[in-house]
Amino acid sequence: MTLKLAVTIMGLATGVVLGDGVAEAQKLISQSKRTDVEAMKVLDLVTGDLKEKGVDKVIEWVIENGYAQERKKVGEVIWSIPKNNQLMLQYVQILGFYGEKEQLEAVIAKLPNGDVYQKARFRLALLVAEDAQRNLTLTDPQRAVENQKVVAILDKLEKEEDLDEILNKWIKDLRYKVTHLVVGCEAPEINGVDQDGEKFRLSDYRGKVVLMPFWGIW
Amino acid sequence: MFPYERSLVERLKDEPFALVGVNTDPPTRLSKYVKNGTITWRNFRDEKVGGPISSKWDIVGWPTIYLLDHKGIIRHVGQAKEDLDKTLAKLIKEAKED
Repeated sequence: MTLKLAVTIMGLATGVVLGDGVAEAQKLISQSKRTDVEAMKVLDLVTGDLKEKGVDKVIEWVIENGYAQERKKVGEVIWSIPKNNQLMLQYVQILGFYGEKEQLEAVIAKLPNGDVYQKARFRLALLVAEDAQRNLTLTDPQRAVENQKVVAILDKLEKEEDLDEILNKWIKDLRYKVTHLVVGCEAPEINGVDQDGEKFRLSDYRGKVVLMPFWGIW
Repeated sequence: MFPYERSLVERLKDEPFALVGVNTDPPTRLSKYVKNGTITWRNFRDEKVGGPISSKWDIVGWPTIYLLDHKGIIRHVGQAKEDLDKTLAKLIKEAKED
């Protein structure tokens, strides 16, 4: 009787402090090897216990170790987790890393403002800019359209009142890049010195086609 | 190193074309490669990775290639070692016809 009661109390205590799903998920994580990550299973275990303590660490693990399908599902459940700001920032960062534009757009669509919204929007701008530069199947006019999209995303972002200093600088740098350093722009002037120490400018070569490799042997 | 670039300098010497590099080596090393005939074109000295010119142009990979037309408009940005013959021929034709 005493033993039974103790077990019940322990069970209750565990249930209160830690959802059963969370405990199960933590167990799975601790057993998981780098080669057999079962992120969806882990995620499924905690989806009923999203308000429980410890769930943020479990989701963090899923974000870092899962595949696209898990990250998509995280996008559905993450909103129910209390005090999820730090987790959201991490989520947005990983989405940026994997180039998952649709997921970033989904985050942006759900938030009116704030630092998560701002970082997600900036990462989206960065991805569109990278695609515009790297996708060799795009024609120059298509590239220009993509770069315009970047500018539009940045325009909206700059209307935010509480942008932090670093983000503000990143925004300015990216804007400069897509408005001065892409196909169709006039090349920025270079005022420099050649290998003999003689001063010259890039614009000295107007009238000629200029192939300009940035190179170094180090 | 740079056989394609040297061949362009030689082959297009009578055309409205220039190869202008931006070099991120220390000046003494750049001079060495110019003297031994590896580098046959003019370069801006940027002197180090993340030098002022590379920073302003947001260069994150080397070599990065920019191709400008005769009006100074950027017409192509590439990461490296591409065959640019067709694009160059097209732009040189434009320069001559303008």
